[in-house]
Amino acid sequence: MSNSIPPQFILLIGALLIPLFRGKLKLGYMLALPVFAFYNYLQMPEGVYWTFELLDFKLIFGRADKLSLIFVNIFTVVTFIAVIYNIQARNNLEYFAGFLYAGCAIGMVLAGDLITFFIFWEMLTFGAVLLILARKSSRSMGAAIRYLLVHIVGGLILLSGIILHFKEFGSLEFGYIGLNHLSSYLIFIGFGLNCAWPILHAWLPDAYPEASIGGVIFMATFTTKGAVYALMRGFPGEPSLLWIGMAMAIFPIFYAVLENDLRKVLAYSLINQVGFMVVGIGIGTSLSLNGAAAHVYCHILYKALLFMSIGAIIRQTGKVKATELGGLFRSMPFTAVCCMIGAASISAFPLFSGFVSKSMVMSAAAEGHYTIIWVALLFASAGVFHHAGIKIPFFAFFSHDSGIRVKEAPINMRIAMGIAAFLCIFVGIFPNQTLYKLLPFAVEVAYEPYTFAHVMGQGMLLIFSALAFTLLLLSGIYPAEIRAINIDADWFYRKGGRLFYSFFDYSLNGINTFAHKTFIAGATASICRAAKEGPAKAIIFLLTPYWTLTGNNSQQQAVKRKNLRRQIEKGSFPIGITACLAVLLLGILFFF
Amino acid sequence: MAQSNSPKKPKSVKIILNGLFILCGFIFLLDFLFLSEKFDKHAIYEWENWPGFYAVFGFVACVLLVLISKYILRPLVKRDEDYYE
Repeated sequence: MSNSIPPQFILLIGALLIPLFRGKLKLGYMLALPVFAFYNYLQMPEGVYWTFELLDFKLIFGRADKLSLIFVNIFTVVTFIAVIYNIQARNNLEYFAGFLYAGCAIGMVLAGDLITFFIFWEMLTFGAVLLILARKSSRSMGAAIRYLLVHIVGGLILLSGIILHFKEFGSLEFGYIGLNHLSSYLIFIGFGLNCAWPILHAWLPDAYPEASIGGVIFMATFTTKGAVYALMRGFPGEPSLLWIGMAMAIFPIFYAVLENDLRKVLAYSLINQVGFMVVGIGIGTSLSLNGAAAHVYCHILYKALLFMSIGAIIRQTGKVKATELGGLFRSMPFTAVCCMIGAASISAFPLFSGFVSKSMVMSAAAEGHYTIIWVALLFASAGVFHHAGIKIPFFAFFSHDSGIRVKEAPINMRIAMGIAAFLCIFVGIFPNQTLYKLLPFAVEVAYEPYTFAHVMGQGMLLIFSALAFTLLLLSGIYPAEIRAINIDADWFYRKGGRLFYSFFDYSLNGINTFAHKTFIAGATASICRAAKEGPAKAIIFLLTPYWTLTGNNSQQQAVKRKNLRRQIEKGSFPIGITACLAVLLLGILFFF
Repeated sequence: MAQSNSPKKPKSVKIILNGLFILCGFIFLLDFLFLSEKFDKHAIYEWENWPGFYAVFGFVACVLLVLISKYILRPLVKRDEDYYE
């Protein structure tokens, strides 16, 4: 049993108490929460503790091994940075959602059983939805609802997998699952949706650009990386992950080249980077799994940094589209430098954080002789530099001068970006003293990223990518940023949803109209008419031959018919007829 | 549209461009003339030893990336900004 306080509960309970504080005290309180959580993380020994019995199940809130602890570490660090960045939000709901999100993410990676894991996994979604809603625009409202629906579907798939898993194995322990039974496939897909696998990915570039500028830091950190953790725990070495990861690394970069909304570019490059992690999990060696974990760590830092710098631009200018920005370097030099540090890190420039992690996955792919994967990842490495490394800083801060003159981002944002930028460089220069100490899997020979060949190869790759960008731009071949959107797999439920709606609108309302016409307007009226006129018609029908036989001509018959009808409508028959009908009725009753 | 993307070329831009070109030439020559022959690159694949492999790969990859995006993907997926509204 550990003496420390579970960091997830520090954040979750801490989140509930935020509204009790005001002003500077609130700021201090919110900064203290992640610090206190980090302190308690440092006290956590490896082992399994914080277990509770619930019915017949054993809930494990503290499965601390090196794999879960590296995630707790980076999740807490980013929460601290995001709180500083977010001070100006002045919105309790947004603060609450951020801490809820962070607490759930930490709870999820520390969960030792599938029930606890699932509860935190689902609660993540609500944190995210609140952060999208915090933008308070009609577009963010729509994005939030789509996000919620997609993740509820994913969550249900995961839940059904967990239930089947329990039925098959009688255990809810969350360890290696492996892809073999239906249950494991369902769990696999449930993880995959949060991991933004191709086709299942569309929620990500749909929602992230609509989130609040501070909220997106949490979103970019927890959901996909939580799924990466789950895959590392449950499906390491699963070969299909190689191809899934490869597709993730490749396809988003084409979108990112075209995309006009800079946060959408970052969303696509996020998928591309998670692709490297998924490939690392798919290879399944110690080196590749360590590479995936290291890449999670570095990726969270530089992606947060990039989202923060674009967020600062949004806050200062109100714009986010490449077509509307440009030339901000003079107005916001500090943000520009931070953005370029983030760009250099995601591009894996030597001495920046991405270099020391991405090269592990690349080396593992080469060592395993996964040639196609290796070539694809190299292509993706050049591509990511091209779109995230150059495009983002270039179109925001340089390019043509948009004429926008604003103040530099507020001090708290600069501090947050500064911390993230510092960590990106620090981890990049001293990986052995920092990041590599946290890696989950033991290796015989420590990985050395800074070999001459590595630096040289990566340097050439990046410099010639830059050359290609420059030449394409100068020659006018580079696709101009245009005010347009690019449809993606979310088309299927955004337009498909409308198709679904119109189909049922047409068919169900058609049935409704038909039923109204036939039964309400048609049948009811006929029954009424029949009840009103039926007896008269029947009697007239019976009496007409009698009248004809008794020598009435047609004029006399018409008069008789008129009289009879009036009598029947009023119900005033002569006594004889009434008696006659009564006898007839009694006769019918008697015989039947 | 292309013009609006390409920066007007004041002195600073010219210096940066020339710097980039010189750097490219330098690093390529370095790899080509000296390192490939005399330096063990710990290469796993044979082609990693080819002089200038990474340079050519990076350049070709980016050109392909842009051409495919512009001429294949964009015509397929481009819609008006209010497409979903």
